Amino acid sequence: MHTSSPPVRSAQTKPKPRHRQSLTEELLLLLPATLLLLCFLVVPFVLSIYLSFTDQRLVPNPVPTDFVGFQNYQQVLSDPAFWQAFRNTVYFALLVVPFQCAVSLGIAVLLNSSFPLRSFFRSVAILPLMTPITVTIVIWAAFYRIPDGLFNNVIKAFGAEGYVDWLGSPLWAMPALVLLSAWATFPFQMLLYLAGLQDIPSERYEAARMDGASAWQQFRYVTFPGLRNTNILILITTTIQAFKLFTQVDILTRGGPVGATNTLVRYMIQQGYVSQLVGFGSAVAVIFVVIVGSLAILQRVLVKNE
Amino acid sequence: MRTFTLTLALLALAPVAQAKQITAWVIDGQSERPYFIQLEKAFNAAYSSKGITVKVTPIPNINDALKAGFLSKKLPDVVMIDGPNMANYVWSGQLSPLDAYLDKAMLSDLLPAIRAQGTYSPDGKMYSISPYDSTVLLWGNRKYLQQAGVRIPKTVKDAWTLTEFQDALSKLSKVKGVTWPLDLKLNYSGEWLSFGFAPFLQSCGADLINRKTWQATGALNSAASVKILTTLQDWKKKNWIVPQSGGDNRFYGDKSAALVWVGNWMWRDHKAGLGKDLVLIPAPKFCGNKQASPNGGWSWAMPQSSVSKQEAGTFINFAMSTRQVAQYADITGYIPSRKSATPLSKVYGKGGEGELMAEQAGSIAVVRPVHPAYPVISKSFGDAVLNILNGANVKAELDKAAGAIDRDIASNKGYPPFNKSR
Amino acid sequence: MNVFRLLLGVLLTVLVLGPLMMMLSVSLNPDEAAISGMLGTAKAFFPSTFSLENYREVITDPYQPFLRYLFNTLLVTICTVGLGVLVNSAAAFALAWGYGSYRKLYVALIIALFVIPGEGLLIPLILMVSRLGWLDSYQVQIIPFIASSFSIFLFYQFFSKLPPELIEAARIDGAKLSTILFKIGLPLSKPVIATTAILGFLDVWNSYLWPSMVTRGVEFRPLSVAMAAFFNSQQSYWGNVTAFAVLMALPVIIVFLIFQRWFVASVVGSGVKG
Repeated sequence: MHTSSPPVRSAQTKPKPRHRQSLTEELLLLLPATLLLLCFLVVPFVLSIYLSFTDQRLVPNPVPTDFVGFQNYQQVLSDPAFWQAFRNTVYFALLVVPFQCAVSLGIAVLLNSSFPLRSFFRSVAILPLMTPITVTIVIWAAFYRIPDGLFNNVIKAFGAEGYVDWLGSPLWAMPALVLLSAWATFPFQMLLYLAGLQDIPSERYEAARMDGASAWQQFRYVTFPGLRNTNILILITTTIQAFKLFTQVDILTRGGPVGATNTLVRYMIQQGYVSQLVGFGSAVAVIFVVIVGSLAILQRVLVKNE
Repeated sequence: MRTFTLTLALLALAPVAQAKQITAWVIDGQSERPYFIQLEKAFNAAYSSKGITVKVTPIPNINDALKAGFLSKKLPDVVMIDGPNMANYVWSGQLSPLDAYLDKAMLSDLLPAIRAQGTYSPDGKMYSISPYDSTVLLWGNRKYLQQAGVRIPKTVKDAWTLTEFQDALSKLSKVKGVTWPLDLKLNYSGEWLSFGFAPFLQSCGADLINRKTWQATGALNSAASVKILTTLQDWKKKNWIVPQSGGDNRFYGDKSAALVWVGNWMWRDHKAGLGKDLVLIPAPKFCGNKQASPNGGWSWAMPQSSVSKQEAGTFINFAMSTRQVAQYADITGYIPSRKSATPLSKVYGKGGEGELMAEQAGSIAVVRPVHPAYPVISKSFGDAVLNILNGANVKAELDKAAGAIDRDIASNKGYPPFNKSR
Repeated sequence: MNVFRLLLGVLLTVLVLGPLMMMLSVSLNPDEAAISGMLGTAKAFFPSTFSLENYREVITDPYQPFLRYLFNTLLVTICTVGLGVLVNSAAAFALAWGYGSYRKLYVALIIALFVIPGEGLLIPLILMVSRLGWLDSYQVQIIPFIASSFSIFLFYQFFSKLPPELIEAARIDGAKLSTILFKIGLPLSKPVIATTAILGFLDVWNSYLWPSMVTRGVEFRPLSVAMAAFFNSQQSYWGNVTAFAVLMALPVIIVFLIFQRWFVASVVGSGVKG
C-alpha cells in the first residue's frame, strides 16, 4: 500500500568484472519495453501536444494541415458543450465518489468483523468486479426500462403515476449511471479498505476497549484515523476513475439527454475521432491529461507526506 | 502489406484457381441479409465460368469501417456507401468515377432522384449508384386508428394536415393499450435523425442548408424551422412520442405505440408484427399544403484503391440489372431504383401493397444536399433534433447546428471547388 | 450483534446476486413475450423455465458469431498479458540488477509515467495506427498495450527485494542477466506474474473504447464491443441479450472465483498505482 520505491543499488557496491558486457546485456533486456513505451506512450503524448496546435484531420484531404496556434484551445474553452461535459464529469465524480466510498467502507467494516458465513459474503461481494462492465450495463438497462422496468414498477407500487424515463431525463440520467457504476466497481474500494483495516494493529482496538470506547467511538478514533492513507488513495483513485467515465454513457445514453451525461472523454472522442478533428480533439486530450495527471500527482504528494 | 504478399503466394500455389475474386462490402441489416446471400450466389453462378467471382461481406457499422478503410487504404473492390456521403468521399479523393464501367441503358432507366444522388456536381460524373430508393411515411395500427375514430388517408394528396395529425395523436393517446401515440424512432442514432426529420423543415419551406450559397445560417435556423420543431417538442412534452430509451419495437412488438414515422426498411418487421392491421399513411402536410419525404440510400461505389476496377464494374452492373433491382425491392421493402424493375416487383407493381411508397418517392422526394460537408450537416442537425426532442431550446439548438456547419465549411476553405458556386 | 451482521450480509447478497440472477433466469426463458411481461417484476429473478434455446440462438447466429468474438478476446488477452509479462519483467530485472547508473532516473521516469491517463492518448494513437495501416487487426489491440510502466514497477519492486546473494552466486557462475531472469527471477515471481496477469486480463476483458475505435467487422472485434452492438441491435430480445451476457460473464466469474485469493491480492496491489 505504499508508493515509496526501494532504493536503487548503487553501481559501486557491486563487483566490477564484465561490467561493460553486462551493460549491453541489461540494455538489451530493457530495449523492448523501452521501445514500446516510447512508441505508444511517450510519442503519442508529445504528439497530442503538437497536434493540438494544428488543424490536423483524421482522413487525409485536399486542404493541407496548418498551424493554428492556440485557436483549438480557445475554441475548446469557449465551447459550451465542453464546459457542460466538464461539469457533468465533475458532477458524476461528486455523486459517485462519496457514495461508493462510503458504501465500500461500510461493507469492508462489516466483512472485517467475524460472523457466520463471512467468507461466503466476501466471495459474493467481489462478484461485480469480476463481471465485465458491458454485461453489467446491459443488466441495468433492463432495470431502467420504460414504462415497466423494475425501478418503474417499484415507484408504481409506491403510488407513482406514469413512469420515469430514468436514462432519458436530465434529472435522473446521471444518478442512474452513478448507481450502476457504484454497483459495478464498489468491490475495488471495498478490497482496498479491507486491506487497510487489516493493517490497523489490533492492540489499538484493545486499548480503546479498555478505555471503555463504544463501537462507534472505536470506529471514529481508531479505525478512521488508521485509514488515513487508504482514504486518500481510495478517494483520489475513485475520482480519477470517475473522470474516465465513458463506456456506460456511450452504451446507455450516448451523452444525452441534451448532453446531460456527456463526459470529458466522450466529448474528446466525439470531436477527435467521430468528427475527425484530430487537432481539436488533441487539445481536449491535453486538457484531460492535465486534469487527471494533477489528481494523480496530488495523491502522490499527499500519501508521501505521511 | 503482409496479407497482400500472402495472397499472392497463395495464388501462386493454386494454379487451378484462375478465377479473379473480388470482394464487396455491403451493409449488414436484418432485412438486407437474405438479398446479399442471393446476390452473391447469382453473380457467381453467372460469372464464375467467365473468370470472376465475388465475395460479399456484410459489415456492421459500415460507415466506421469505411472511414477506417479510407484511412488505411485497406478497402475491397466494391463498397456500399450511404448516398449523401458520396460528395465527401469524392472530395477527399477516395472514390473512382463509375461512368466508364456502367451500362448506358441502365443509366437511362434510373429514377432521376437516384441519378442526382450519385452525381458529383464539380465534374458531373457518377460516383455512386443505388439499387433502391427510399421514403419515409407514417405506418399505423389500424385497430387503434379505428378505435380513435381517425380518418385514414390513402393517397399522397389526401394526406393529413398538421391540425388533423395533431388531432389524431390526441385521440390516439386516449385509446386503451396506447402508451405513446407516435414513435419517431429516437432510438436510432446517426443518419436517421437528419434523414427522418429534414422533411419537417423542407415541407415548411426551410432546409438543412441553402443549396445555392451553401450556408446553413438562415436556412436551418429560420423561423419556419423553429416553428415546426417547436410543435414536435410540444408533442414530446405531452408524452406523445416514444422516448429515446424506449427501444425499437414499441410499434411492431409490444404495440404500445400507435403510429410510427419511419422508412421502408421496417417493412418486414412491421408486416410480421401487425399483419392485416398495418396501414400506410402518407407524409402529412406539416405546413399549409406542402409535403416532403427524404429519399436515396446505400449505393454501390468503387474505392480509388481498387485493383480490379473492370471486374468491379461488371459486378455493379450485375447488381443493378433489372432483375436484381426488383429482387432488392421485394426482399427489403425498398423502392426499385429502375423504372423497368417496378413492374417486376410484387410489392411496388400496380396494386401492390407498397404503391403509396412509390407514389411518394415519385412526387414529394427531396434529395439530401450533395456537398462534402454533408456528414457534418447531418450530424449537427441530428444532434439538434435529439436535443430539441429532449427538451432543449429550439432556436438555440438550431443556431448552434447552423453555426457548426458554417464553421466546418469555413475551416475547409469552402471545400473547393464548392466555394465557387457562391 | 451477529444476527444483525448476518442480516446485513444477506442484504448485500441480495443486492449483488439479484442482478446476476435476473440475467441468468431471463436467459433461460425462450419466450420473448413472456419475458417482456415480467422483466420488471419479481418473477424475473427466479427461473421458471429451463431452456437453452436462447443460448443456441446466440451461439449459432451467423451474423454475430459469439465464438469468433470469444476467440478474438482470448487471443488478444493472452498475447497482451503473456508478452507483457516477458517484456515488463525483463525491463524490471535489468533495472533491479543491472549496473548502469542511469537506472535511478529510469525508475523515476517509469513512476512519472503512471500519471498519464491512457484515455488521453487515444486521439494521437488512432492517427498513428491508421497511418501504419493497423486498423482492424489483432496487433492494434495488442502491441500498444504490452509494455506497462505499472507492471514494470511491480516487477521491479519484487526483484529488488530478492536476496543479493542469490543473484551474485549465479553471476559468479558466469550466468548472463537474461539467464538469471529466466532461471531465478521469473520462477520466484509467481505472485507478481499472477497480479499483473489478472490486472491485464481485467483491463483487456473490460476494454471497450479503444477496440470500438479500431475494429470494424466481426473479424477482429472483441466480446465487449460485440456485447454493446448486440445489445443495441437486439434491444427488444432480452432472452438473447441476457444469454449473450451470461456466456460472456460466466466463464470469467468462475475462473476468478477459483483463483479468488490471487484476484483479491491483485486488486489490492493495483491500488498502489492510483
